Amino acid sequence: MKKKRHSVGYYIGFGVFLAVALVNIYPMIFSIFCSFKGNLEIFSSFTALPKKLRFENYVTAWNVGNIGKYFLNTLILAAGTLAVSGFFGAMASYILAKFQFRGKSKWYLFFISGMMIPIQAVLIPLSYIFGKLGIMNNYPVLILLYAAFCFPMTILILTGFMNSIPTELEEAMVIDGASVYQVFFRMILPLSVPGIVSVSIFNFIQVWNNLLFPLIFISDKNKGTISLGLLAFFGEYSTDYSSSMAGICLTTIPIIIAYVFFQEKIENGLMSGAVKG
Amino acid sequence: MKKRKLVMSAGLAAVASLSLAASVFASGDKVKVTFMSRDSGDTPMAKVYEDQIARFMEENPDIEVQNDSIYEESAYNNKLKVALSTGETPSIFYYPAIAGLTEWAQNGVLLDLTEALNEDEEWKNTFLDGALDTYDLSAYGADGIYALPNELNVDAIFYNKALFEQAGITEIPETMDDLYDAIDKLNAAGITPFGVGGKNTWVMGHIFNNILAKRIGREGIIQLGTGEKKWTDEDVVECLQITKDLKEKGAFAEGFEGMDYNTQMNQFLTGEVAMISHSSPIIPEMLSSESEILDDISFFPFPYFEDKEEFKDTRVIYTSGWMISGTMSEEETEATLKLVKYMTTPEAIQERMDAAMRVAPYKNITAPADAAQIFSDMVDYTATITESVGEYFDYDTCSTLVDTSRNGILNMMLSETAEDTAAAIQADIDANRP
Amino acid sequence: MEKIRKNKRTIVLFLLPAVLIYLCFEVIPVIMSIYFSFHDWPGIQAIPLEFVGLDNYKSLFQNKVFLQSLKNVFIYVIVSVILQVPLGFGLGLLIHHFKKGQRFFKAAFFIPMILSVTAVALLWNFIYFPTEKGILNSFLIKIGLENLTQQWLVNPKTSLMCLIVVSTWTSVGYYMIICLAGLTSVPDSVVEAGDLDGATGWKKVWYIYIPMLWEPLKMSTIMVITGVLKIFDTVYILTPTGGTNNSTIVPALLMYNEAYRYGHYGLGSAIATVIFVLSVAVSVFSQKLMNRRESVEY
Repeated sequence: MKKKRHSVGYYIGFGVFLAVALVNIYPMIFSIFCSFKGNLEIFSSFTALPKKLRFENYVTAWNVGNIGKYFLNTLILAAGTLAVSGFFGAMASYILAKFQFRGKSKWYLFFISGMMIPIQAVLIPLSYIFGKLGIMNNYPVLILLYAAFCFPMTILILTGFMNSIPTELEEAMVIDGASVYQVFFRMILPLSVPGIVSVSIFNFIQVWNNLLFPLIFISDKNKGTISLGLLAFFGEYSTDYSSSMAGICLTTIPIIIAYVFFQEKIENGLMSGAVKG
Repeated sequence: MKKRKLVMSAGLAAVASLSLAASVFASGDKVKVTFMSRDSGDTPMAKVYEDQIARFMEENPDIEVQNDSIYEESAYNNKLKVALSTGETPSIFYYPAIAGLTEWAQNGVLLDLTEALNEDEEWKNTFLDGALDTYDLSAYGADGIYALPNELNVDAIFYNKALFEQAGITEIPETMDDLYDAIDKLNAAGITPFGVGGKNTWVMGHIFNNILAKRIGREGIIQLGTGEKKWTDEDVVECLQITKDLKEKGAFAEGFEGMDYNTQMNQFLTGEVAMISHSSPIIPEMLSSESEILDDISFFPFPYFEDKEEFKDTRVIYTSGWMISGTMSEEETEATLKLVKYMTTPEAIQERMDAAMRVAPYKNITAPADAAQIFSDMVDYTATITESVGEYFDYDTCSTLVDTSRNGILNMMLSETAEDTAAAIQADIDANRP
Repeated sequence: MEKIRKNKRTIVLFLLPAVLIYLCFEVIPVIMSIYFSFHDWPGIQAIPLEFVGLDNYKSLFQNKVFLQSLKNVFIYVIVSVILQVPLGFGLGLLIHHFKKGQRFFKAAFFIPMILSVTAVALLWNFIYFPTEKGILNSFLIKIGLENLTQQWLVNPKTSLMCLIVVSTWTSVGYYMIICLAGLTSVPDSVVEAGDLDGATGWKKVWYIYIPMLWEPLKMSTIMVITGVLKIFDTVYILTPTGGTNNSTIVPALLMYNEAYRYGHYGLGSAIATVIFVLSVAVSVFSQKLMNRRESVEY
C-alpha cells in the first residue's frame, strides 16, 4: 500500500469528518470564550465572542482555586496510580490471559465486576476502613485506593490485549531458555504497551476528575486536588462561571496537549526493542 | 533471580505501605476543633471566617481549628453525611433542617445547648428574642436547643424600578391583587414579570412557601409539619392552585421550568425580567456583579391576600444555624464552645456583617454606615418583622418531603393538577414520616 | 510451556498484589455495602443497624419510581450500546484511514472525555436552553424547523434521549482510543492481503477489521453497559430532580438521594446492590452472546 492517488470520495469523506471533528472541538473553544467573559456576558449571549479579554479571570482561578499547587498534587496522585494499576494490573492480566488454572474465569469476573460498583455506594464503608486505620491525607494510601478502582478496567482491557498476543512468541522465548519473568518483562509488557497506554489514559481521567475521594479523604488544604480547587466557584446563591471556566481551561489544555503530542512517542519508545509480532 | 525478588518486593509494597501508613498517623497535643460552614473560597464571608479563626488560634495556642468549609452544595452534603456515618461529626457544622434534626438530637449526635446558654446569660442575650426557639426541638420529642441561629435569609421580591415605571406601575404591590395587576401591566408593556429558575426546584418551592405563609400562617404551616393538618386539606390545595395559576397569569418567563437559578439571576440583572423572588443573601451577590441596573433594584415583602388579612404580617425567614457535635470529649466540647462564643461576640458578628452583608439574628447589629441602600433597607425591614416562619418542610420530620413536594410543584407547573399533587405529597408523607 | 502455564507459584505471585489492593479498597467495602442493604440505618454512627431482612428489596420493587428508573436505565443501556460502540470504532477506523491530521482528530474526540462535569453541564445547558436563545433551538429556527423547537430537558418525551446524546458525546472518545490501540496490533500484512483480494470499503470493515477488533469490541460493550447502569453525573447535572414525571430518573440517582439526602442508608445500599447484580448479569449475558463469534487469531 504505497503512495496512491486518492479519489474524490476520499476528499469528500475527509471534509465531512473534519467538519464533525470541528463541531466536537467547539466546547473547548466555547469554554475558552467563557473564560474570558464576565458572568453576565456569558448569559446574555451564549455563543458571542468576549467583548474584551478578561485575563483577571485566570488570575482569580489560579489564586482562589489554588491551581498551581493542586495541579502538581493531582499529577503526583495520578502518576502513582498509573504506576501501581498499570504494573500490577499487567501482572494480573498476564496470568488471566495466558495461564491455566481452575476458576480462571471466576477470577476474571471477580476483577471485572468492580466496574459495576457505583462509587457513592462504597464511600461510607470506605471511610469506615480509613477511619479505623486512621489514614487521612495520606497519598500512598490514596494511590492504592485509586488503583483499586482502576484495576477492573485495566484488567479488562489488558487481558483482552494479551489474549491477542500470539502464543508462539512466548513459546519461542521459552525454548530459547527464558524464564517466565523474562517473557513477561521483555515481551509481554512491551507488546502490551498500546493497551497499557490507552488504559492509562482512562485511569488518568478517573484520577483527574475524581471529586469524591479527595473530598472525603483529604482535609489538609495543602494536599488538595484540582477537582477540589474547582469547587471554590460554586456557591449557594450564584456560580462564578467565568473563573470556573478559566480554571477548567488552565487544567485541561495542558492535558490535551500532553495527550496529543506525547502518546505516540511514549508508545513507540516503550515498544521498541520488543519482539515484533 | 533478581527479577523475582523485584516482583516480590513490589507485591509486598502494597501491604507494607498500608501498615506503614497506619503507624504514621499521630495526633498532636492540641485540642482539635473542626469548623464546617458553607462559606469557602473567595467570598467575603469566607475570608472573615478565616481571619477570625486565625485570630482565635493565636489567642488560644492549645486549640487547633480546622476549617473544612465547602461552598458547593452536594459536595458539602456528601462530606457531612460521610462524617456523620463514621462518627467523625464536625465540631461545628451547618445543616438545613429543623425537625429533621430530631433523630440526630435524640441519638446524641447534636449537643443540647440549653445548659451552655443558661450558664452564660450575657451570651444568651446577644441573640434576638425568640431566635433561639427556632432550634428548640421539644415539640418533636427532643427537649433542648440543638443549634445556634447564625444567619437570617429574609425572603422578599426583588424588583427593577425602571421596568415598573416603564409599565406604568406607580405603587409597590401590597396585596396579591396588586401583584396580579402589576403582572398584567408588565405583560402589556412587553416585559416578562418574574424570572424563575424552575430547574432548581427550591425556587418554585419558595414562592409556594410564601403563598402558604400568607394563607395558612405560621400555625398552619407548623400543623402541616406535625401532621395535624394534611396536604389534601382544602386550604393547602388552594395554595397549590394559586401557585399554578401564577403561570396561567403569565407571571413567569417562558421556559422557566428548564432554567436554573443562575439564569434567573442573570435575567434579572440584565433587565430581561422585572422581578425575582429571592432572599437577603442575594443582595451582596447582586452588588458584586457588573450589572448596569444596580441602582434600580429594590425589594418589597411578599404581598398578602386581602381575604386573609390575619396573616398579613407573617413573613418567610429561613434561619441557618450552627449545630454543635454531641459526641466530643469534654475538652473538645469546651474548646468548641469557646470558639463559638468567640465568633458570636457583638464585634465578631458586626465584622461579618460589615464584610459580607448578611442579615444575622443578633441584637444591636446595625448595617454599616457606608452600606448600599438596598442592604440598609433590608436590615431595617428585618427589624420590623414580628412574626416569621421558615420552610414548610423544616417543621416536618419526613426527610423525603423536601424533594417530593418541590418536584411535585414543578410537575404541577407543567401538567399535574393541584389536587393530584397534594395527594401525591400526602402519600409520600404517610409512607416516610417516622 | 504447559508446565510454566500451570505453575502455581507464578500464578499466585503475579495475581497477589492486585488482589490484595483490590480486596482492601473495593471488595470489602462492597461486601459491607451489601450487608447494609439488609438493614435499616439512618447513616449515623450512634444508631445501631437494625436487621430487616429483605424488606428494603421488597419495598424497592413495589416502588413505582424505582421501576421507572430501571426502565429508563435499560433504554439508556440499549441506545448507548447501539450508538457509542459503533461511533467510537467508526471514529477510530476513520482516523486510521485518513492518515492526515491524526493528532488533530484524536484531540477533537479526546476533549469531551477530559472536560470536567462543570464544563459539560454548562455547555449542554446552553445547547438545550428552553427558549429560542438556546443553541439547539436557535439553530432549528435558522434552518426553518421552528416547529421542532422545545424545552429539551423538560419535555418528558425528549429528556432521556437528550441525556443519552450527552453521554455519547462524552464517552465515544474511550472507544475510539480502544479501537486505535487495537488497530496497532492488526498487522499490515493482513490488511494488505485484503487489499489484494479486492476487499474495499464496507467489505473491508466487515471481513477484516471487525473480526480483528473483536476483543476490543467485546471490552467496549462491557464498558458501555457497566458505565451506563451506574450512570449518575450526567443525569444529576442536567436533570437534578430526575426529570419531569421521573422521565430521566436512574437507579444511581435514587440511591444517592436515599443514602445521602434522606438518611435511608439501607435502602440506598439495596439499590446499589441491585445495580451491581444487574450489571454482572447483563455483562455476562452480553459476553456469552459475543463469544459465539470467536475472534480471529493470526
